[in-house]
Amino acid sequence: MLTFILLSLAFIGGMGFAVISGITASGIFLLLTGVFFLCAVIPFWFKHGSTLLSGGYRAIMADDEPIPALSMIFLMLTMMMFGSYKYVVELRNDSSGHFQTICEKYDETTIWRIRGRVTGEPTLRGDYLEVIVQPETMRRVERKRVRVQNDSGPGKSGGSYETVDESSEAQTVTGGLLMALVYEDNEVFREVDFNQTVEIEGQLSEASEKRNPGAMDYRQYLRNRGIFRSIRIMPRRAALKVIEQKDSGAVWYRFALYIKNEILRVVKQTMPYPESSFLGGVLLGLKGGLPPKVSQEFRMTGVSHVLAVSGLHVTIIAGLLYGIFTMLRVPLRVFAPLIVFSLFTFALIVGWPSSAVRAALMNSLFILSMAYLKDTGFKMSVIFSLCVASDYILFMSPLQLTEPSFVLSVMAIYALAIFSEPSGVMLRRMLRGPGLAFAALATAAFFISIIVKKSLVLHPYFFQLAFLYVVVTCVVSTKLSNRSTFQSFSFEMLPSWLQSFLSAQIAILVAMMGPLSAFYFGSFSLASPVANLIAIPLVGVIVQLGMIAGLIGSFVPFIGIYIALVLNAANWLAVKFFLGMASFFAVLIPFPRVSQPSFAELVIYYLLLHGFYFRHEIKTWAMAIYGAVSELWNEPEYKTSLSALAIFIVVLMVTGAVFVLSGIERQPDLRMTMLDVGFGSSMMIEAGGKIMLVDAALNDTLAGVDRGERVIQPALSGKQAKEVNAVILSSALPERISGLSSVLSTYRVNKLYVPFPLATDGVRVDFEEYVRLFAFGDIKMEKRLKSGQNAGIPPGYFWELAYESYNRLIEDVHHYGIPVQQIKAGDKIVDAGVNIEVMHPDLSKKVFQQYYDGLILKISYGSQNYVYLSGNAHPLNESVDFKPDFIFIADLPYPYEAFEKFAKSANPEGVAISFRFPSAWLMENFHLSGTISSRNRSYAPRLKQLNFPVYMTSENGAVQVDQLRNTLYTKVFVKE
Amino acid sequence: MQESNDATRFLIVLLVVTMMAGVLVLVVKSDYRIRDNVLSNLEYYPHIKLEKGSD
Repeated sequence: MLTFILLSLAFIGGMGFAVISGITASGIFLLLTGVFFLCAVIPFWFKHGSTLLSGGYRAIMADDEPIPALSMIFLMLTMMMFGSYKYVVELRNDSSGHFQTICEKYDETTIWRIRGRVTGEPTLRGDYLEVIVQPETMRRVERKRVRVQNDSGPGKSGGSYETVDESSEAQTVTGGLLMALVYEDNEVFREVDFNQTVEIEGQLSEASEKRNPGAMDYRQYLRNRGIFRSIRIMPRRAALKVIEQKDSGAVWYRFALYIKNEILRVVKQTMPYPESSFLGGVLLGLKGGLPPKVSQEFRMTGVSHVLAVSGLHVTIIAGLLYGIFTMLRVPLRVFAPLIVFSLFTFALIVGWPSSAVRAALMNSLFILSMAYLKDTGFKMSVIFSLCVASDYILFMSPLQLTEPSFVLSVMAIYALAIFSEPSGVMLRRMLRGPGLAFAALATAAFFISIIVKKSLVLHPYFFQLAFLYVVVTCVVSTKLSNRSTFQSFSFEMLPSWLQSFLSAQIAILVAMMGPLSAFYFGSFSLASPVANLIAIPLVGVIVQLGMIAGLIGSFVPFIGIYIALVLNAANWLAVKFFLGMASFFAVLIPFPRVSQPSFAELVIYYLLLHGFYFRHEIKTWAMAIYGAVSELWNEPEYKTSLSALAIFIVVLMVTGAVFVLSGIERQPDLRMTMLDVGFGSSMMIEAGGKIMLVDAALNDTLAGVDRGERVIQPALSGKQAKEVNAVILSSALPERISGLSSVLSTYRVNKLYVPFPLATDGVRVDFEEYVRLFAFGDIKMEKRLKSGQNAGIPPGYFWELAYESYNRLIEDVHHYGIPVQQIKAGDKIVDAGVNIEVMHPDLSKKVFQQYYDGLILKISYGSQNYVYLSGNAHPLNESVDFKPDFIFIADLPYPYEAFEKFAKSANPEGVAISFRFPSAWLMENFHLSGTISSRNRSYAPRLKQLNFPVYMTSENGAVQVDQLRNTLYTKVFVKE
Repeated sequence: MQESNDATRFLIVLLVVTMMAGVLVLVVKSDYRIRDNVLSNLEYYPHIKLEKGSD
């Protein structure tokens, strides 16, 4: 068993090596696999060759050392190289018939007609279905207007025209998947289903790669699932036609889908929405359909895992089936295969995610070993079964290795297996008599503090101080428990199942949820330790009742659906309570962001955690190794070998250290990053350990996309920012200010600089007052307002957003007590590691013009100077009296000629422009829509003619400019 | 054996209590009926048709 575990670890380690090293030479890995395997065979043959030839296999098995140590080392190296080989091969998608290879030859404007098969059950995500299609053939389509009848004479225009499609030869696709997003305004929304042959026509798009610091690489995420392109099926944009419904395909999968649909049908009949969407989520893994507010509350309270159909669900189902069969007095040897079949069917029902497959495999191994191997003395180890499950999943899909869902699932079991018991020992030692009382009081005091004063979590050192608080509480509680004789109440008095449950929760928190949630998501739910104490037992009841109701409702004729109605009516109470509980904790306990640790920091954390939990065992092993080495050292014939081994270890450590250090990026003196925030702008300035933001992007409430939350927060978290030293808002436009609200809710901002008037009393202004404060640059609207029309209400979505954003800013500034300074030309800002001088506006006018009074900033560090321009280029040539080394612009500069004149005379090392064409709804009543359209079309070629590089966030993603001494280094996140 | 008896007992108690609570909900909440549930779930996985038992 130990041999298997070691070989498994080597296999997984090999895959990890391929990920970290980035080596893609599969041939070398395959060659090394063969070489190492031969090296492993030689010592084995040397020792057991004669026994093997005489057929004495049992004698080998009975040997103290069936596999010689040297063979074992080479076998591990073999598995390592094989793991690397498997991973690298999986990454390759360059065969001529691969979907990716075909698509890469043409640009994104190409129209494709693709025929393929729907490979799985469509998944509901908000207002669209996610349909995964395996393309079988694809061809390019060109549309042409052709004159079919010429009734206006030869050589004249006119007559009848029609659109003719010309398509290329069909190409056979040999690999890769397409993701079709079918929106609800299509007829096929209700028709598309598993196993259909479909024809899709439209433009394909490739998922976005990592466009910003701290952001997720969505393209890689999809590639790990084998998906290389996506298409939005929307009227007049792209179409999907169902060609035929096949009844072929795996019988087992179709059976699983049948069960799934039957249970879902029962759920829809026996529980109202939105509770039904929760039951569908926990029972069938159907995450779509849950109201966004509920999903957000689940994230905030750390109970989202109940929707992920994790090992918990599989174990609950296994327990339910075990209970039912035992109740019916069926022998274990008979029902064990049935449970195994049911568990894998359940994994199929929920979409075969790695977590469910892992749990199904592990539970099956346990049940089978209990049924058939118990008499042989075989005792299943959790780590052994975890290795079997991990090996299977990674062998089938190696790219899962870096997927959070796989890592979280495996680490959850690892935490339970390794850390539960020692956590229980610690709790028993710590929570006795006065120790228990002290710990309870300290815990209550902590939660009361953050509930009463939520801004505590915004403190730059909140997590460090909270960690210290927990350590001190543990130490004091343990000391009090040891000293006092008054121990009439203690942790040990709890029922054993409750002790195990609480120990498991601690293990999960310290070894999985805490570190990995910070690493992957940059967040940590403070409510999760409390909420999960209720959520986990409750979800056990909900899943069991839902499953019983689903099966009875589906398969008991006539009265089944009514029994299911009664059962789910009771279950509805439990679901209601669950949703209410999540909502309650989400409101009560704050949900702060955490600095995302690097991979190296995560490794160090786990080393320290193991060191702390197993300090006694490690000490014993260290002593034993020291004793053995000392003994050997005294034997003259071993001295040389030991010295060689010591030198080898030192060389290995030095090489490792050099490798790690060479990968560490040298910190620049100044880093400026123009973030890719879509429509809007935000720039991050880092210098001297301080962080400043210039503008804070758009929170588009209609689209439900908050760039402050999606882009700025992860960027700050990825940079391990503890606070934001200053924020400068260049204008009061919503695409510059509305994203700040979510940043303020998670980071402390020390100072806010604005060029426009901003009250700090928290009192909202009405629209008339807002109109008096700002000039909009929207001539039509200003004319209407002056004539008294629309004076009380904003005239469209854009201006409503602008008005609401401004009021929200007033409220936030008051709520978080942020000092505000109104700035004008000539003012200097020095509290964020760089020198910033305001060049424009001079604020001699009473009214702030949204488009013309935007800031122009001079940013200086050492001998280098930079300019940040809000968009209006009119004052550039008169206000800016220096030659910037780099120009940052928050929008397309206007007028272009003024910008071009300035830029040509300055001849900077580069220009970074934050630009993305705004969504249609942001154009409502917005007189600049035509201007922006024409500017976008005419600017691109003119910008390319300049003799210095111009980077646009729409094409290049975030643009990062580093100053190291007096040299500039520019990096773009998306290379063209 | 003791554990499996406990599990069986738990399952039976759970089912009995559930049936009682379910009946109570149906008595107290007059809009908790199959027809109402079907209506409220119209947009939830709409491709799952409800021919059976939906009144």
